[in-house]
Amino acid sequence: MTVETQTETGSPVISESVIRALSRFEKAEGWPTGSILFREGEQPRGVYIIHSGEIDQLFSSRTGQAKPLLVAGPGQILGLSCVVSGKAHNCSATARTPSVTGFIDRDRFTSLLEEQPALWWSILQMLSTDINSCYDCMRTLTHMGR
Amino acid sequence: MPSPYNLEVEYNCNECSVRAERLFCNMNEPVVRALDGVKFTSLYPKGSLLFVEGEDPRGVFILCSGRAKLTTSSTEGKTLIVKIAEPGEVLGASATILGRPYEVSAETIEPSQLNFIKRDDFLKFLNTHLEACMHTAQQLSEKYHSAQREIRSLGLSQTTAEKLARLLLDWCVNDGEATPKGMRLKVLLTHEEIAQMIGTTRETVTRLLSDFKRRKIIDVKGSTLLVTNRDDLEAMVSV
Repeated sequence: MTVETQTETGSPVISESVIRALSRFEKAEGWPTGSILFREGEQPRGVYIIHSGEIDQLFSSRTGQAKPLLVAGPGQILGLSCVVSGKAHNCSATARTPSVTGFIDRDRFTSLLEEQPALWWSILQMLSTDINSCYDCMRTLTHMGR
Repeated sequence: MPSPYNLEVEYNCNECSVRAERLFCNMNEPVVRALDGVKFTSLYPKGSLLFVEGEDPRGVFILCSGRAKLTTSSTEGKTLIVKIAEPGEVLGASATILGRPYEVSAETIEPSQLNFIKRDDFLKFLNTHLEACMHTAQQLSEKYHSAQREIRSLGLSQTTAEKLARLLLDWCVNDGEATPKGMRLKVLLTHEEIAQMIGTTRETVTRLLSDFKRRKIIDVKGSTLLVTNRDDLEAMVSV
């Protein structure tokens, strides 16, 4: 396994080979505005690589009120943490704008990781970036923008 | 011989009696031996700053025992506690992996044992042991889910009373001890720190706790908090 390099700005780079490895197995899907990729509480069916558009991540209260608190865009992968941990989705995902994603089925994704262990490093980088996005969101929600 | 801070210190990860219960540490023996070879064990008193938000990542800290608060600060000095880290958690992993400054600060809130791994050693360790990569990914996924739960609470709670009720209920689930009079909680955080967990002021927390006490929802004696009416707390929460 090779540790990937980084850009000068510090953002993680997923190598061309990783993108190729994933794109060979993905199923391209178009999502009109408002369409639902997955719902909160559902078991993860797979991962969604966002190629274009914006996807809202909505959190619901017990009373049914749902708020989009996080937004994902091109280059991000939705459902990754759920596939890795085997846990249900914590939020729902709906297309905020017309979007295109590449879907990889959970079993296929898991076998890809077994076949190409180098992918794990990219997954660590993506999960780390996702955590940082959550911290940014928490700062925004408590009016602590930096 | 008594150990510092009365901690039960374990220097050898392979002999650690709780390793199997820990998401990151529960790896096969050869991998744990490799981990043993790169980690430095240290004991810290309460209030020790492990790393600071904005600092270049030096490496990761595995929290073997004790607890630590992870905080982020605004330029005006306002602090938010994003998480109370529990034993078994790896602190500073995302910054270390991305090679970017730490996003949060980490400070022990109890005497703690931590195993520190230098950044280069940790990256080599991940590079060499696939199992360590998988366990780190699971640990990061867990952290991501925990952060999403916080976002839900911060973003959907209608009132500060609701946020405080949610926090107390979480503590009941995670750390509560059932007694005939209710759920007993050992609260190690000050009112200021509780305020930092729900994004409010110390004064508001003190006022709300007094209000909960007056309504006989809780009872407080020193650092012990007894939840005497959990149903009322549940009724306050919509998230």
